[in-house]
Amino acid sequence: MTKYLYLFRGGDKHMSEMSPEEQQKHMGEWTTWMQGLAEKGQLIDGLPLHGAGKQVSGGGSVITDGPFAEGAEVVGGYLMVKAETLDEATEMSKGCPILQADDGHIEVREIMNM
Amino acid sequence: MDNFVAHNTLDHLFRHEYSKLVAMLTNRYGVALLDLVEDAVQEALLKASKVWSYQPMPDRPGAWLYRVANNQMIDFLRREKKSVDYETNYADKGADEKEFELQEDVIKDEMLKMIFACCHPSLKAQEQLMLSLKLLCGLSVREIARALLKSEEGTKKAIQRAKQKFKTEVGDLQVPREEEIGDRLNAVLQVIYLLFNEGYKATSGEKLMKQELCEEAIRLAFLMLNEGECNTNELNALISMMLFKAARFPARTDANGGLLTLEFQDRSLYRQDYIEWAWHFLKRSSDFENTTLYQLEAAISSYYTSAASFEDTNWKQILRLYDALVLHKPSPVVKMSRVVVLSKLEGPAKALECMEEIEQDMKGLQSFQALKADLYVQLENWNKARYHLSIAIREAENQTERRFLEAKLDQLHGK
Repeated sequence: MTKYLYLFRGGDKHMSEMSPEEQQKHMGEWTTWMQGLAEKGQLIDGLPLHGAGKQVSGGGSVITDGPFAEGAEVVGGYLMVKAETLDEATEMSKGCPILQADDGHIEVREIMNM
Repeated sequence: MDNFVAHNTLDHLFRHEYSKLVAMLTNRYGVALLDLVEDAVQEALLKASKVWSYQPMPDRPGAWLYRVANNQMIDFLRREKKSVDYETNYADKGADEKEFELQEDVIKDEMLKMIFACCHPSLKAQEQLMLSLKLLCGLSVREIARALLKSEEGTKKAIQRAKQKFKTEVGDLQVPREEEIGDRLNAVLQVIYLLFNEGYKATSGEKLMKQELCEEAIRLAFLMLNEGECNTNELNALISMMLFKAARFPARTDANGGLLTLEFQDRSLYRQDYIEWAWHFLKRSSDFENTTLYQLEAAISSYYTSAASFEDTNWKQILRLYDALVLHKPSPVVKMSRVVVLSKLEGPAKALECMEEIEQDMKGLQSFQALKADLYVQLENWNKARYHLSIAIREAENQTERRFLEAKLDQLHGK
């Protein structure tokens, strides 16, 4: 099996407009989806990312705050999964609740290994 | 009783944590900062819903949420440069944090103060209801609008106005002193009663939402039981009434979500556990000497709910209870409910006679017109029945009511 990385973007606005009850329901949908992956032994690891951060460039001499990109462009979380092929990894991602948000999307990348 | 109220704590964890956190932080930072408090709590829940999507919830989510919401609050205050005032305040109370995590009693006490604040006499009944739904039940503006069948925009404005008043009029959060607790408690019970009735209204357009209002009303009433001063005849009787009625929930709609009136309900679906607790609280309310309105209403509900079948309903007893209720509370609504019972005992003609007395007050309500139509149906006066049904349809407040009435009108076709 190959490892793949899901990068989640967007969905923040969708979530911030939810009532507490809806937030809890949404969270439950994530848990169910992730449990599905875990039960098939395909879930490795993952967590959400904080909005704040730093950008380091210029050989380490330039440090700026933020990602400061538009909401839908910022990576809000990641997940590492196992799958046979890129197609399978892509198919598996379709159940992710982030896709309920208009601006929610997932980037699926193969993790290189020699 | 703890089992009874605890069985669905995880079901609405976020909503209920919202209300607990708002109560605790408002107690800590003062009513003037209510908006910031709500934002901080919202932030904490948002963060929690993200993190707990990926990993299991901690054992005591409440403690985690409190810490995050409180930190968020301090952050907000720093940003607004209020830190100087509030840090001293915070330093004084800094030791509290551990206690909050441990003491369920403290949380209940803070909730209780918040209940009294939301039902403060400076607020109108409708404002009390709105604030209770927002702050004590953790409903969003959209959910409140849906539950009360009002527009979202209108609801938002009404809540903003109520909050403005809350911030300037309520003052320090506290359980009222002994000399005023009677009146203040009455106001709280009225809001709970109103909340329950909003949920119980025979308008099942948003069935789930409605049922949850009733559950919330019961939850708030249970919270009141924790304070000795509040544990009165009225409170126990109100809880009893709500449980007798809520017991019928599973039987109130058919498979398509249509309304079923008492006559057509499958009584085997009634919640027996609710009924048992309802009896328990009715008995407890009788430990006190006086008879109260809530007790009469609970007793009436007990006869409706515990009859083996609709035909077996003890109309005589119910009528006697209504007679007593009308003496204490001669409102048109109570009188109309009495008329329904009277019609079972003395026939539709007599009932129609009694309706004249409340005609002026009630003629604009669909329920009044629909009742009249029902009575005319019993008299086989089809024309008048049709006439009143068509008025009722015109006055109906929502689709479900309208569909229900239109189906009745259809049945009169060709008669």
